[in-house]
Amino acid sequence: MLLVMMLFPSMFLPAGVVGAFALAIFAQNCAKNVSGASKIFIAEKAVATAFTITAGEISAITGTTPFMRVDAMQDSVYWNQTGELIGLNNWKITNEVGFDIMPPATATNTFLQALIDGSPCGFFAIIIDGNAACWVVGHNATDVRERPLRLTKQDHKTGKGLSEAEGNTIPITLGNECGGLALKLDATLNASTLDGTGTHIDWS
Amino acid sequence: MAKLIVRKECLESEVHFTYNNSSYKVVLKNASPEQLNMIKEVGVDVFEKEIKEVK
Repeated sequence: MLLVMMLFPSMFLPAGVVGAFALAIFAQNCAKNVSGASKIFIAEKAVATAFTITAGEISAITGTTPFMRVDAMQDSVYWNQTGELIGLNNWKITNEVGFDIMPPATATNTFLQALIDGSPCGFFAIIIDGNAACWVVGHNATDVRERPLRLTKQDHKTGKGLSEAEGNTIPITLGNECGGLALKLDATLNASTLDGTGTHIDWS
Repeated sequence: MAKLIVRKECLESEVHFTYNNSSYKVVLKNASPEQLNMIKEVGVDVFEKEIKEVK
């Protein structure tokens, strides 16, 4: 029994706990690395009904309604994925997705109200980063779909006078705490997100 | 009910989906017929096309 445990430790993990990845060589790709994020799409958890994962990447997104394009202000979109040791044996990941919209108007109110109304059930977001890679935030392989993003903050200030650049913009923050890393779209889905041909997103 | 056959290239994939307000994580090569039916109902495109009998 002891020998079997030593040879196949993953067989003895409790239900729901997946085996660890063995450490392997990490080879760096000698290519340009661009910071920032350029675009965000958001879907309510209820309408993005399934993710298919192949070789660690999302190869298909199934839904009743596609992810919706959000026209955020240039260079306002960001995504922070922060890992933190909890106690000795636990690892927590905190996601924060932010973007600014403008100007305060009925349309921005409608959008904000939709985020407020959808927040109890949560959201998934597709972020296009500076390297043109697309990531689904709010879903991960550990919690699956149980810890989606929620609206954590919206902050509208008029600013004082004409010389305040941030006046009358509305910064919006979505976030979650979860147990797994966000997954990347595979090459095919990534390409169809960037060129707008994928049915999982709504560019129009 | 027609038997659901997962396409060969999808066998190693896993599907994360919500069904009746519960979340599931199913590796397709290990999926039970009940799980495959749930995946089909959710609309995930991983199955061989059904062949209709011609009378």
